[in-house]
Amino acid sequence: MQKIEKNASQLLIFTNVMLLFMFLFESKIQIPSFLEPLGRLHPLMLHLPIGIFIAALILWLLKKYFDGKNISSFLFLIAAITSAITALLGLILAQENGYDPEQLKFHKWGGIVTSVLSWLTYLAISKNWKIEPYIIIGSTLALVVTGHIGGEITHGENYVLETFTEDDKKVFDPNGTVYDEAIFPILESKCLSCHNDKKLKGELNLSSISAMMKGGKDGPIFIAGDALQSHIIQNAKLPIEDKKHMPPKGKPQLSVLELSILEQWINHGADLEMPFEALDTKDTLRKLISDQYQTSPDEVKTYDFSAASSSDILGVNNPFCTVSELSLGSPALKADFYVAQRFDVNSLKSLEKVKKQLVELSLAKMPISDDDLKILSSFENLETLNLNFTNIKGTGLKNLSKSIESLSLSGSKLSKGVLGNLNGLTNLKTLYLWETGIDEKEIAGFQKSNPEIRVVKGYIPTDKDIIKLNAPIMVSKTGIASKAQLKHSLKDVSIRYAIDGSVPDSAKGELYQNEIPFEGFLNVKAIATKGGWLASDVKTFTFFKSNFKADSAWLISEPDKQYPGKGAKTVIDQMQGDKRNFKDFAWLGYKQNNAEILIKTEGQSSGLTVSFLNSPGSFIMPPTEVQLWAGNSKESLELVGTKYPKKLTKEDKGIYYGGISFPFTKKFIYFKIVAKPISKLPSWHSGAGQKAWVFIDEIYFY
Amino acid sequence: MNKEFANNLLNVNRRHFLGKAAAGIGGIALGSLLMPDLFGGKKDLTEGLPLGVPHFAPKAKRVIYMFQNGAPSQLESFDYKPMLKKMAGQDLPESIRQGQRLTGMTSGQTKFPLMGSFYDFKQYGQSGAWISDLFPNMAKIADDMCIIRSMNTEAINHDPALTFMQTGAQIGNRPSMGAWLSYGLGSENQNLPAFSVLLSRGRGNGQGVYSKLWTNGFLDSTHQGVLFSSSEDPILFLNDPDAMERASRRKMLDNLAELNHLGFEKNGDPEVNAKVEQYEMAYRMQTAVPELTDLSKESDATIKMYGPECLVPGTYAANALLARKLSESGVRFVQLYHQGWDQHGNLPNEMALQAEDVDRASAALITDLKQRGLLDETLVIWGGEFGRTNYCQGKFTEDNYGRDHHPRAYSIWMAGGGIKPGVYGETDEFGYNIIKDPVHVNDFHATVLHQLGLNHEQLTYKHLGRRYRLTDVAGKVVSGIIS
Repeated sequence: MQKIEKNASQLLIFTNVMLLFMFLFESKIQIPSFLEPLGRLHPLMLHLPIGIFIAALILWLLKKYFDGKNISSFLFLIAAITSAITALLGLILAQENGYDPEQLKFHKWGGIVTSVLSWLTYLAISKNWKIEPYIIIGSTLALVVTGHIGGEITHGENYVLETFTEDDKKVFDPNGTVYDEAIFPILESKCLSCHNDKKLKGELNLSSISAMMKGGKDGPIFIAGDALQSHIIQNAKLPIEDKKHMPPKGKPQLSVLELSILEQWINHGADLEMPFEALDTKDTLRKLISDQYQTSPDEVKTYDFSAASSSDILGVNNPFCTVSELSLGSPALKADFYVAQRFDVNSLKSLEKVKKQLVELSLAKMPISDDDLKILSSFENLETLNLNFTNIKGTGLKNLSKSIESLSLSGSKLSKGVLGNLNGLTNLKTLYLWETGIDEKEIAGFQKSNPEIRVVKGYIPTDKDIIKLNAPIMVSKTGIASKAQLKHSLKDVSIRYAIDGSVPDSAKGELYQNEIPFEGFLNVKAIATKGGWLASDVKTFTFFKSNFKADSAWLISEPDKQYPGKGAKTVIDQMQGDKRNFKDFAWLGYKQNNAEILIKTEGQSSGLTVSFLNSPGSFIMPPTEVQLWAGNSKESLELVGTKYPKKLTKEDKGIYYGGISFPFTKKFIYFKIVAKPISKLPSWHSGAGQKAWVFIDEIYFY
Repeated sequence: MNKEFANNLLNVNRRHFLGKAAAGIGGIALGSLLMPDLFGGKKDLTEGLPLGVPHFAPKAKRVIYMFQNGAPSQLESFDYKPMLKKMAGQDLPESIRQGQRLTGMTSGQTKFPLMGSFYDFKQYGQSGAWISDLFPNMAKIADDMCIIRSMNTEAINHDPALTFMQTGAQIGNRPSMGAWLSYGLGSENQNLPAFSVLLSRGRGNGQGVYSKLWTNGFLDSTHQGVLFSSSEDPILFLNDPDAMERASRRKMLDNLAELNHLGFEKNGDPEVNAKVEQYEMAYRMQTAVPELTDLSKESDATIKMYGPECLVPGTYAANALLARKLSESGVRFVQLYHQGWDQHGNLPNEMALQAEDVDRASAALITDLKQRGLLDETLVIWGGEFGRTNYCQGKFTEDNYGRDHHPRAYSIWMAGGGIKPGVYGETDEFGYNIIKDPVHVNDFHATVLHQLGLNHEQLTYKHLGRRYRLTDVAGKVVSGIIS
């Protein structure tokens, strides 16, 4: 016996420590899933400590009449062990969700206290402590209370006496008055406990309309039509610490929604007789009440058909057809088909496995025909069907299940008269008919005979919708190419252009065809035009003809230290410097001396273009003179040509590229370019008399 | 004899058993305390809620977020403040400013001269929303829009504010909204990335966008946003090289996957598997993407709706059209950024250019989704990272001005996806402080997740010892904008 008690004591220490540990660190512990079934044994196990404890208690109470001390002590020991185990199992069970956290907290505490007290009871009896009776009373109380709370958690509150009390929980009845159905229930749950026939805090009684209308010691509780001046609202809106705040701190508070309902009702005139149905569907009060009592018609839909097996769902899924649950735990499924090229009608047929569960289906852009729609006829719960941009003509629509609520046919070229096939769809609410080719008259006729269906016709451009075209764009992104070509992304657009600096419009200027002929450099203004559209803005494009890249280059004269570019390779990197940012190391800047650049190329060329920058505002002007020297060795260069770029005038504003081309017929290997900056800016310039910059970039060969 | 033998075999007698069982259970408890994932498997990551399916019936299935990068001024778009015009040039009253934080760009100003909108406003739609003349096309869809005039954020500079809007944190290491959705809901179309990003640049003063804005953060890298190129080929290097057959590509991928699998068995790095998945996705994209980028099937009416710019790759209009095509093809989250909204100066001119870029195409996207029956299931969001000040930056001049950053109130709009059209929230007469229904960025995130059927408190990922959410420890669903 002693040995048993010794072992049992150790077990008790261990289980109780474990219990405390689990209780304290509960939130941090995760119960391994294989232990979860143990938790479910809690409701079974709990009968043992209760039964054994009561047996021990009886023996203890009757100890005067026969020697039951030992057996009673032993029974208390067993009760202590079983209650510790029961509590442990209970903590495991508590990890599952779904219990009222408040009640659960008390029950957990109760379980621990019961376990510890039963242990103390055993110790008290076996060690003959003087406080023995008090501990026993304590543990008995703990056992009863904990057991009771546990019972309420499992069976619901007031389970025992339920048969005596009337079920007065009312269900919201939309046919009743606003006061009875929405206002009084709020007062009842949040105010009535202190303001009733028996308890008249602040001399206020809310239990009947007549009592309520008498008001309290501060007068009437509301002023019809003026919520902000009504005591009930004012007090509810006071800070919770305020003495006058209602309901008082510590009592269940009004929710924001409840407060808004009270406020709106008072503002509505606090009509005690107004029926709920008299409120307009868009009325704020009605919406608030609907939110509070969840009577709104667009409440989340529930489905009563059974769920498909997960193997069936998996079986109908493939990379081009995604079938998934609408939401967690919902039996309803949706299916979407993707990638027209990979459409397989068999995967549509396979959806018959889940035909009962399928409520949404998208076949948009899939090459399905009217015949294929027959497959859908057995999808008895299908609600949303998307057939946009399919090959159907509409004759197969008569096969659709009448459960359909939303049908999209946009972009599918339907035949005339097929809307009649939709007559069987008695649940249809929305129909999308954009770009179906069905004429206005037929749609109007359909709408007239089905006024409850929302027919969406979509955007149909009218004559008023004339918008401006975007400007043409260059075929080559940089304009550095062998040909000057423009394009426009819209079909049937004409492009007109002018190379002489004049402004083209829809009648003036050359009509663009294939390419714009040019020598080596071209600034061209162009617009795009099309019937039914406004002509685009005029845009200027710069082209540099370039057929190949030169081999190497040397700077004979150094550029200014501020604008050294990337050295000699600046002029042969096939990149044009940024117009707006001449500091970006793509430009060679000269001011004090002439630019002298030597280039070598073995390629066969018929000319070259020197590109420069025009930016009078930044004192960057075209060179006054450009010379081209050429020859077959560095030493034997001869002057091939001298050109004088057009001088800028006061009207030449802005920043744009310039270029000067030298065509030649002979084959050369070495080329030297000499470009001379303006030594004195002209009188119209703000820096008149000062030196101007010359900015040179790429030298193009063609 | 037999008994001992059996005992020895089991190495257990009654005492042993009790002792060991006790120690065992203790050990289990301790073990799970130290390593909570020990027995949980996948379940732990979301506290028990499975991934890839909405927590409750969703209103929206997809999101298109048209981010106006740089912060468009609310005072020239959706928050009409005639008072500012009346008091133009006068100093912002201290009772309104209340010493609240300013950026370094204007905190040195001695005067804060108020400035009204250069552009007029008119009322549109059933809600009578005030919309500026800069956005005539958006005004036409006023009945589909829910304008929120009471957005507020915590950051005052672009990068943290932008990062906050996108990831729920100002420091860029958390997953972006799109990554969270990809993680929580999975991909609808396995042939395309669930999270796609499209960039365009306007003509106004611009601010950068960086890949951290569409990062997967600590989530699996399959949830990362895929940036589409703004060239004519939105996804570069997607085509097989010449002379490579589809079958041999397949074989190559299979062999590569085998090698990667060996690697995974050795080092256990989950990124190896993510990589394999991405190769597979790229393979499937080879078939799916050409359909997407083919604009030849778009009708003339569609082009007219978006404006002809939509045919020029890299423009906002082209991205809006592509966004519709991606979303229609089941891409969960399409993120657009349009740069150039940072008008510290020259606001009247620059904002007109910016508005011209986005107005028509933004409205067209709504109309287009609507006529395809997709607006109900697609949540469209339009807006920037914060607002702009009601006073002008620098000295007051009558005809030109700029506005500094203002995080305390700004306007965005949403459409579709179960959002109730109308106007929500209100600022004071000066447009400086919110006086009704504030919507914090965290609330905005909570609401977006809610519309997609996700409880923002339940969508979590455990990382570095704690659970993270898009809304972190804040956020309330804004029920006032939900229909």
